[in-house]
Amino acid sequence: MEDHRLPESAPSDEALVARVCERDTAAFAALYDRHAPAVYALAAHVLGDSEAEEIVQEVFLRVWNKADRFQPARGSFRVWLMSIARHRTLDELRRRDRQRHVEVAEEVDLLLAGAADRVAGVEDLASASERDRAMLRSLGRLPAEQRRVLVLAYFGGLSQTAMADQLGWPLGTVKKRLRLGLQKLRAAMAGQGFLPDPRARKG
Amino acid sequence: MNCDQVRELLEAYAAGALDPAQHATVEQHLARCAECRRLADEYAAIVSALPGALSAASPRRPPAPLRARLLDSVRASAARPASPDGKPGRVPAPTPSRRSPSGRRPRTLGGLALSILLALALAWGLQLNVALAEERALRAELADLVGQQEIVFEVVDSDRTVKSVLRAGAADSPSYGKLYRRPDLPDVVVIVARMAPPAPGEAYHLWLGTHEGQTHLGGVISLNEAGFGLLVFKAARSGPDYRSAWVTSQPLGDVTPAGTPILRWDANP
Repeated sequence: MEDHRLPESAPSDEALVARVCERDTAAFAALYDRHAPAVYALAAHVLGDSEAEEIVQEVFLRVWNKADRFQPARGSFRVWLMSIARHRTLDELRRRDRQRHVEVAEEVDLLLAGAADRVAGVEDLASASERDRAMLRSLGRLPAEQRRVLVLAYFGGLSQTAMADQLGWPLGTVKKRLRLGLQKLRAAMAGQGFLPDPRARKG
Repeated sequence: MNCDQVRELLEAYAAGALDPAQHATVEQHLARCAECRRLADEYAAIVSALPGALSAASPRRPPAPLRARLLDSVRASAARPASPDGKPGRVPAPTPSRRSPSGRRPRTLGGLALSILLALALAWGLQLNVALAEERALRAELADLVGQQEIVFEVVDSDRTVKSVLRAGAADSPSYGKLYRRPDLPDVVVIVARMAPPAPGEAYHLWLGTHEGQTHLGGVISLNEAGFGLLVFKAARSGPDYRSAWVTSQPLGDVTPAGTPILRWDANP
């Protein structure tokens, strides 16, 4: 997903990764500064602060050691990185406390819903990137049940069938909410200029 | 599955909400279908922006000392010469010091000093940060290779872990091993370090003795080029109660221990 508002001078993630392959520590620091807050937030809200530190360390050491395994043709760096971070975090959650998935997801959902209301008042979110704010805004516009199901899946690591089983919802309802929620998010992000979709790009 | 059926699942696929079998089916379709792949990539990009939104909503930030530690590690490794596997500046750089019959010395800068330090540390029962970090990194790499990373982390890095050290029979040998288990898990992890390659036709076997007097074969340990090996296996029950563990070099296919133990641990020496 490209951000067409990125200043010309800022190197892309992919350019930074290529420099990390050449052992460029400044490029590594730049990648860390861009993406560590998101990795940390994911791990901290699912597992806790001390575990989150370990996960950030692990994930970024992996970036340093295995930068040559990243293949830009197969997707963006952010997708690669968040996929690793999410898998590692959910593995740890599954290992430590199998009961916490729903609870974790509810906490995250509350945080996202609460903050989404505040995005318009930009002061305390000034340090967040444009993309983060756009996503937060888009999440705020989702019907609560659609956001909830998405958060249960992505942050709680629950499958559709697990959600239906554990929460006593009809499976068809879960599936519909997940589809609609993601379709709406995609449209909302495109509407704010965050997808390479010519029809949706802002003029 | 045809494209229409896959398209109905793409949102759930991106959110990680499909059951494993459906996930695999969709993945296989995407490997062959560029149109569906393009749409899947868009959804992947959307969900990958969720952690960023959470970090915007959350007061929690990665602490500054974490950044400093990480940058120190990578700067130190970037300044290091290439390790013998050809990859420059990994964190941390493994130092091979296997003793071949010709008595070959380690080739990396500082490698000889490092192996002397390690031998001394073992003799004194000390744990140097360097030794531990190196072992951890090698262990993680190997675990990654054998696809066992999760189990290894689970068994080795918990506060319920019981650890036993296997020491070499020969006084001047740098080799050692560690046996990890947990009272609440049946999985057992064994690492061996700084081992010379076994004799041709033989392999390292890990044997375990129980308090009931039985002997089990834990498994065969293969070594990487640094003389480091990892074995993961499942005992018959959680919290296996071992009184001894030893490593021998024997022909593959042997079912009973033979030969002098290369490494050994006893609960009650």
